[in-house]
Amino acid sequence: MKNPKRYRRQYGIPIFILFLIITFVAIMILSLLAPVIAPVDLAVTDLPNRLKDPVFRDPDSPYLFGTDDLGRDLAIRLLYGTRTTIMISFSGMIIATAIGAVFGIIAGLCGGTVDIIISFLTDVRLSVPTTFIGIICACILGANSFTIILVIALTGWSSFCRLVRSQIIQLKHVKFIESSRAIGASGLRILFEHILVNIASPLIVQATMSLSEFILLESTLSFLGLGIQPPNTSLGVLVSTGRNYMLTQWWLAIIPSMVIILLIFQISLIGDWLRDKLDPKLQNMT
Amino acid sequence: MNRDIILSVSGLKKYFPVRRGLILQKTVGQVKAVDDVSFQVYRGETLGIIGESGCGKTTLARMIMGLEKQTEGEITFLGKKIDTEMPADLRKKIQMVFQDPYSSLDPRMNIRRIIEEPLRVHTKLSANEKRQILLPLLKNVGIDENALQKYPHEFSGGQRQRIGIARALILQPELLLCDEPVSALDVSIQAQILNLFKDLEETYHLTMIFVSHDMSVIRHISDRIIVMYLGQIMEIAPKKELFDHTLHPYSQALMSAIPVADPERQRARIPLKGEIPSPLNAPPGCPFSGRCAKAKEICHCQKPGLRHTSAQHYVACHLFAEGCEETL
Repeated sequence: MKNPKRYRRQYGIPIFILFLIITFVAIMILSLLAPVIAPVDLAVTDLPNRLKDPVFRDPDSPYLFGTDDLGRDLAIRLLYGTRTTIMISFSGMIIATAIGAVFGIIAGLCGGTVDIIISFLTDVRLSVPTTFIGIICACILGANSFTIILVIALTGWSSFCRLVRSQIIQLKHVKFIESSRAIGASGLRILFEHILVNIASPLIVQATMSLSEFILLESTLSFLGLGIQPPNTSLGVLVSTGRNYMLTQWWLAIIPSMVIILLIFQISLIGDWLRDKLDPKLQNMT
Repeated sequence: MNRDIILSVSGLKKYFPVRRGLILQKTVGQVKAVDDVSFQVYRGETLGIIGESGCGKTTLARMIMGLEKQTEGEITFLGKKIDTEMPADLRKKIQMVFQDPYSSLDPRMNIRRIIEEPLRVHTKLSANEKRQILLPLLKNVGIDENALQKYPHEFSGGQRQRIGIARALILQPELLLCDEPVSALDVSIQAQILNLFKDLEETYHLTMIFVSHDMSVIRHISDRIIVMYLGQIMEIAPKKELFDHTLHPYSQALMSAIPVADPERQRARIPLKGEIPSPLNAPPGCPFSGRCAKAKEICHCQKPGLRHTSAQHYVACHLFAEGCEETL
């Protein structure tokens, strides 16, 4: 970079956000590497050691976060649980974004009847409660991780679709699109070179923001027993089983809840920062 | 001047339907944005089109650019009829500079990509070849070479308009259409950009259609002037002829509105009464009849055709009906 000052202004990251990003990436890596870090069979129970105290209650305890009602190490289960939750919500997000973006582009560009039909579908989707869709899917397809991904995709696409559609309708009448048409650029070139580039940043931001929603959705469905089935685990399953011991071993529910809160907190703040960062007008003000 | 016709427009009309109703939309009327306009543009000249806001200047420009489909009429460019479906080799030869330099540049493209876009669309040149075309052009329009990596929001309005001009000129078009290219700029910048247009006209032997609502701008830049009112042509004349022998009462009113930098000089102002009529229900006769001080009975009921009064002077006014050449 020729001009370091300019570089820092454009790509400079506040320390707090940097910290959030580093911890988020660390959690991701740790949880994705769970089978390497702690190669255990999740189904193996150890009943004599059930409900052991965590380190902060009994400093001599060999278990960092204690053990659950079947004697399994909560720390290890937390790693595997976070892994499941992150994998499911990420793949759900990617599918939802893709479906939403494609529908949004079609609705925005075609207009007319196509737009009316797609907008109607979006409204229909938004009028059906998410949990209801989850219950129906779980009944038909059985409760497993693919069902949750499907539910996330089925419920998540509508907000992306609305966003992309409105952005495209707005962009269609902006002068620089007309200017490219005047030059003789084809519709496809305008779509890829101008429209997609201009809707990419709101889309990225929306995707990060909705990621926290999807983590919550996964946890909700698993908590309700419609998602991940034992012995596999997810953050929602951990909260749901820990709930039974709220009065005596409160950490069994609180620690996984804290992980959910931490993840959502990180993602939301990173998304917020991304939104400001990707807006050239806000960037200009600094 | 070479009298080679580069663009000819005949009987061009653009009516926008006005729809009412929530569910069953009915067409309740038509806005006659451009109503039966005919003119020619000769190679090498700068044709100014002047008129108030809403008189159809921009719609006319958009139709010539093929951005809007005409309701009726023909546009012939370099001997070929054009409309919204223009073959690429013709499209290359007609380019446009837009009014608003803020929204006409993609905020997420750097200047190099913005200016080179026409080359990417129409040619398959290597990066180096593009650079060879780009550099002299940048010098001519007055953009610094180091600015190429920057983004539009880092530039002022005048600079952005220079970028817009470079983008329009990079294919070396035969006809450059400028739709109010200076009206969004400060007056001091306006002069710079106008002079840039004059310089570029010489360097690139441009033929230009220059649309504006500002008579002093038009006077500065044009060789020939078309005066438009409510979608129709009121008067066409070479600049000198128009300023020396203004015929149409509307043109006279426009002329009298040009400010003169001399506080001593008394000017005969011709104030126009009333508002420009809605193009939704234009008067049946001359569109200007309602505001014209010299309107006769015939003006209110019969539309005047465009008449030849001298070599290159055309006027659409009953006051100059053939056989009765009135002097004013």
